[in-house]
Amino acid sequence: MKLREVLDIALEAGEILLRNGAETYRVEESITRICSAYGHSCEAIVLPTGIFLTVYSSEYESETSVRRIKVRTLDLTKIDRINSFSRKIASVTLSYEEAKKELEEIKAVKYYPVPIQIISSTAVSFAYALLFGGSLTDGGIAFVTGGLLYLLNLFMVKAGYFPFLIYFVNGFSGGFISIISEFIIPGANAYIIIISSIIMFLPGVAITNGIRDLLASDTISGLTRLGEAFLTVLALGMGVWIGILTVHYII
Amino acid sequence: MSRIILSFLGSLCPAVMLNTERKNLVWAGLSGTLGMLVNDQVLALFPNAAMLTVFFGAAAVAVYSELMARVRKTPATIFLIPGIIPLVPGVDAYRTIQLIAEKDYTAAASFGVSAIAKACFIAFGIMTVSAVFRKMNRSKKQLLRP
Repeated sequence: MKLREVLDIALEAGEILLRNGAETYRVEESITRICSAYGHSCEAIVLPTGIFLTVYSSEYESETSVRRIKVRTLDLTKIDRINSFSRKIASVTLSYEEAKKELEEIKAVKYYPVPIQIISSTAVSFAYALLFGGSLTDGGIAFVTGGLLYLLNLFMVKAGYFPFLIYFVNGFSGGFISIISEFIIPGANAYIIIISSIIMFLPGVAITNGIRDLLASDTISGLTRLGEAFLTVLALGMGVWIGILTVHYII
Repeated sequence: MSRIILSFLGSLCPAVMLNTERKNLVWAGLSGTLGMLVNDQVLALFPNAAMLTVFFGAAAVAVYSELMARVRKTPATIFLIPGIIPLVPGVDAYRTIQLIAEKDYTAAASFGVSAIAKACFIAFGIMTVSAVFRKMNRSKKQLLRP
């Protein structure tokens, strides 16, 4: 296979991995595995915002390319599929068209239907409200609030606002709804409702992944992820705080 | 008992939102339950070592994920990420920002440090286990090679 085509397939697979929240070392490993399956050596630098890749042939020719990545989400199915794709390619050599077609299929993998996502987000908020020591009342309010926030999140993601604005608005609505429900419903604990309704937006996993990248000596990726997590939690916290202040101002 | 069910839900539902495949969903949920149980047990043994418990919880989740990855032929991340969701310090991080907004800087500093420390301990737990598994894998391959 031509050098260009190997480069294209490796970059495409790396892009899908990075877009869907794979760790930096996994992206580099998969790219290296794909290139060596076609009998070429390569050097890859993977950052959270892009991939630099050079593929070498045995005749000292080389091809280099760069991919910029702007949006990153978490999608475990796609990580799984690309992982098995890169292992399969090592044993069965696919042609360029076959590999390209398979990558397109992986790209088209869908999320669960929206109602199921909303049900699971409400269940998450309910479970964490009880785990954090809330009463059943808190659980019930968190159940509703979690669903509403997730719906709002879906709308805003679809409309294409930038991530930190989405977090800010989510935090604002979370704080607003929970403080109001504390006034209306006796015995409700606003703090527990807030943290359990925004639990899916809190960047706990992002902080941990950032430190894992740092430990694996992917220092730039680690610091980038930590910085992003810091801004996320800042946006959420500011949103909640302004929501609370608004309610206190009104009432 | 209720903690078992709640932590199962608390990992299964995020797994749905992170688009885990249907055949792996239940196993991802169990991974969170395991982490939570180990966390609680260690906390009962050493009531003062709140940081250490997340280390053992994360290590247990990592061992489980690596084993399940071998059994179900998927990368370990599929079970690891939903499994650590009940342990990660998202709430501590949020609490830090909230306390800064309330101008209680001493409490904010202690929550912030605890968030970073917990994240470090979880990461250490995962990295230790995955390093051991990698080493085992490599030596197995070397043995098989003539």
